[in-house]
Amino acid sequence: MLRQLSALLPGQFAVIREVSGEPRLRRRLLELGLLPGTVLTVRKRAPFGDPVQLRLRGFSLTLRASDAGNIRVEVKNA
Amino acid sequence: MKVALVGQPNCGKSTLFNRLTGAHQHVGNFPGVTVEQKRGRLRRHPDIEIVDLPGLYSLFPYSAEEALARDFLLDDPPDAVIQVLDATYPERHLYLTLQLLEFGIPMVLALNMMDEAQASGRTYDLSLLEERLGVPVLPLCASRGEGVEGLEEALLSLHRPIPRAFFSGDTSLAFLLRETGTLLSRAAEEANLPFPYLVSCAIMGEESVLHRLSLQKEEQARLQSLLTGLEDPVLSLVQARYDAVERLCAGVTASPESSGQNARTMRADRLLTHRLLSVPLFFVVLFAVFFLTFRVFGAFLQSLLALLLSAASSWVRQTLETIGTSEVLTLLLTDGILAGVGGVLLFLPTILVLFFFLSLLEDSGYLARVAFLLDRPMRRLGLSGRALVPILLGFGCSVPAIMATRTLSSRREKTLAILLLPFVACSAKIPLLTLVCSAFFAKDAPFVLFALYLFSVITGLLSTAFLSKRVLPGGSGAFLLELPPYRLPSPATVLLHMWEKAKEFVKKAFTVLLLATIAIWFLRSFDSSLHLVLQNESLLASIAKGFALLLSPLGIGDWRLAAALLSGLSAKEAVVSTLSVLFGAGEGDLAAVLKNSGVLPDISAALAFLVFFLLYLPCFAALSTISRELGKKRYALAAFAYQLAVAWLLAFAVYRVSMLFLIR
Repeated sequence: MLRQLSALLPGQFAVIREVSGEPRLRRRLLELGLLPGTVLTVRKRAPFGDPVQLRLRGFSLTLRASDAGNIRVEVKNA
Repeated sequence: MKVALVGQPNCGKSTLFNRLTGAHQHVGNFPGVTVEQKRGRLRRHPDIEIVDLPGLYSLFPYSAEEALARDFLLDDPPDAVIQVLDATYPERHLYLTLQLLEFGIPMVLALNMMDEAQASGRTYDLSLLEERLGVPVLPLCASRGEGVEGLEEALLSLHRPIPRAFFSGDTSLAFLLRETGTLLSRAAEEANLPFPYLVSCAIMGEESVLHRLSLQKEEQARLQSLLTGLEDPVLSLVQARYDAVERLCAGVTASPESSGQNARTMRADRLLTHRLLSVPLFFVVLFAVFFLTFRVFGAFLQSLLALLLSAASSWVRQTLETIGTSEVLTLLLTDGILAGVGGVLLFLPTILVLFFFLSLLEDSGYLARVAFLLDRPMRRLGLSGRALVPILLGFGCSVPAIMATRTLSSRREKTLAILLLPFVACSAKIPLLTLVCSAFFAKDAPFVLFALYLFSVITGLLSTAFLSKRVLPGGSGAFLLELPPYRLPSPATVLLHMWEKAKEFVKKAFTVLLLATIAIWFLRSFDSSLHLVLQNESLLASIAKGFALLLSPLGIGDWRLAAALLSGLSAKEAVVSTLSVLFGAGEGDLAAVLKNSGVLPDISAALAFLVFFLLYLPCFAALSTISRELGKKRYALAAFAYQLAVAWLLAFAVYRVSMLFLIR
């Protein structure tokens, strides 16, 4: 079952399945390596609840929940 | 020969630039710190000029800064490109390599941080990578200067890369690439732009480049129908490139299970981005920087320098008396130049200490964390966490801070950040602030100073909230920020940076400030018919008296204060040098002279003066940068009028309110 990346909790592993959204932002997300099939981990949320810190392809990326909502993932562990 | 230095943020590009050119420019760990085009010549081969381009993730830009770098490569193609890659995790950097190769410019890859990569257990077959890419690949450790000579040698014998197809993609992408190529070939030749990159632009929807082609109606329609033939052309192309990178790396290098660097960064982040502790910790860090700068190191070094300067100035006075120079010249040298420039030089240590801490915060990677931590509260003001970087840099100097707003992704956020920056007290304001505070508040001076900084920042934030709601409504753009691994900046880098600042400051003291001091001295010594007069009847007095009328409701109507504030438009330190000249006071005793002269009759007037000084117009250098970055003169004028109005109103309010409390 696919879920929005923004709904994941810190510590969860997931595989990206779909990336949508405003074309320029989507293009950048893809180019940063958030491609379907890429495995990522949710590291933590900022103290005020947003943005979230992700780990993928050897680097840390932070994204707001509103932008992470464009990414649909398959959760690997609960 | 012109060589461009290209690379993603945090790859060590600026460190390499310093190594190559010996030019000492700013090195940062925050994504996108290089905002100006920096140029320098190779030390050993002065005919080779290196241009340091802003960091970019891709040649399909997402920020104004990335667009700047890409447009440079298109419009002013260099003779060669050095791409700097992070050897600890090269995959995403090689993605950029494949795009760069499409420009057809002779190129060399510099695999930086090779020592770290090896320490983490990563190995490389560099000759295999060279063979697959068709360009030289060299190992490098820029922070220690290893491999720099080899890189320079390689530059001397570069040739154009032979175009090769790194991916055929699945058949439908290959078909699209081929057909788009045929379609664009005529227009591409006319526009004289790199053909493979143009084809990529067509597929990636990069309108800003496609606009340069004179495509006919039918051609555009044909392109549209070609693109709709593929379900998701952008995804297909990006995916094909990442697949190509994977094939490039197979047998060349493999990522280690986990790196020590990563584990160290995670441990540090456990505290520095902790859910509860991180935000209070940030304010502790800020306070510590402030306290150490003004109270501990700055004050200590300043008193040392004061001794030195007063010894120097009494020596000059004596020498002038013994050789018997003319009275006017002696007056100019002692009352004018020594008092003015010397009074400002005194603050050099404090300013350097502040820059030391700012560059430490930035280069270590901590500022990127701060942007992450405080993004949400910043969003309420219409900004994003990223805007904190220019804001904090603004405590150093407004000019680079204003230019750093180019890293912000939306036009609106950039405008808001630029309008906020004049409220951030730059280090050039330190001399006057400390002077007046120590004159009027004695022991409490550091606390009043801190309160003033806080006051100006809060004013700026409130102003931004107002502007973002009433004047520039709209949403903030997306927030994409990489958190780089923590790296201890090398002492050499930090020292070089401070040396640069010191040079800049001393240069300013002996150019702008010297000229301003001499000009002020002449204006206050002569009247319009060039007679030596009392300063009350001087040319300066008649100019400043008009401005003073405006300031008298704030309790600071003395024309000498008005003249000092006007001279502050050349550089903020000039306010101090002008006061020294007008009150005929030397380096050490200006505070006492100011207090006893009664020009600021009470604490309320002193506070109003400080508040007006904190918030009124920035210096000419900053004003022209603001005007340039805002784009339209009209906007800039409106911004300056707004700034002055806020300064006047708040100084008035502070004057009146503090009178209620203090006079009893």
